[in-house]
Amino acid sequence: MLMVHLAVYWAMQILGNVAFKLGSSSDKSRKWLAAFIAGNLSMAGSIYFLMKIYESMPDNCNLAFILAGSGAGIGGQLVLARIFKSRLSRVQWCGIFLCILGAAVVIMGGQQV
Amino acid sequence: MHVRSSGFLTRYGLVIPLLLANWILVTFANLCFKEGGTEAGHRLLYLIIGSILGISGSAVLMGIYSRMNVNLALVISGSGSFILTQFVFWKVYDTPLTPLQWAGISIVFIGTGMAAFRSSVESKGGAIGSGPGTDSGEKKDGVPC
Repeated sequence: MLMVHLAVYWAMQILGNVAFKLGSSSDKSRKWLAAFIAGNLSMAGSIYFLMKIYESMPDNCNLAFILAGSGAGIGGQLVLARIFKSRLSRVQWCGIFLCILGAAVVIMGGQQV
Repeated sequence: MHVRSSGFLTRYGLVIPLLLANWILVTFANLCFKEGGTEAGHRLLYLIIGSILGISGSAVLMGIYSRMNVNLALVISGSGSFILTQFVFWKVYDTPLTPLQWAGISIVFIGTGMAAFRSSVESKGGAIGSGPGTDSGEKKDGVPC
């Protein structure tokens, strides 16, 4: 069930960001508002699955957060680049993945010994 | 074909205040959620305030998305608020950052710098800024691409 909860969490986080991007690209206020509401609902709903992930890994909440956050981060980058045809250089892509790696290191560094 | 480097500040003028606003809103939302988790007497109040701040942060994020590449916007806004939250929690809750956390923060800074750097390519028939660092939904002067 952990993988299911992770997959759903990642999907909802990615969906939320896709909605925000779609709304930001629109000149119509109705479409902007619909995307804003849909994005926030998706993000808020994903918190339920994050809590389920924490339940599945009660002794290692830092690792649970890294799995959830990194998957959403990497998956979000790839999906957004695919949908919106991002044109980034290799240096920029390396920078993006370094940010995700750095965040994981920060979270791991906060573990109580 | 002429290649020049465009600085982050000159390319993304209005984006910087929006990024700062997003970082601050998300950081204080996290602070409210943390307080709500530990302060039983004001849990609902902190949840409401944190949710308002978080939702406001998403509105600002949409403004950022309309002005720069979505991948860069996501990583810079996310990294910035994540790092700022670490610092605020350190100061507010007196939880010093470990050497490993400082290393992680350094990696994030390096990654953000790499992600933000871009060079724009001017060529015959090509638009300035149409090179690396754009995406199909980015507005130019308020007009959808």
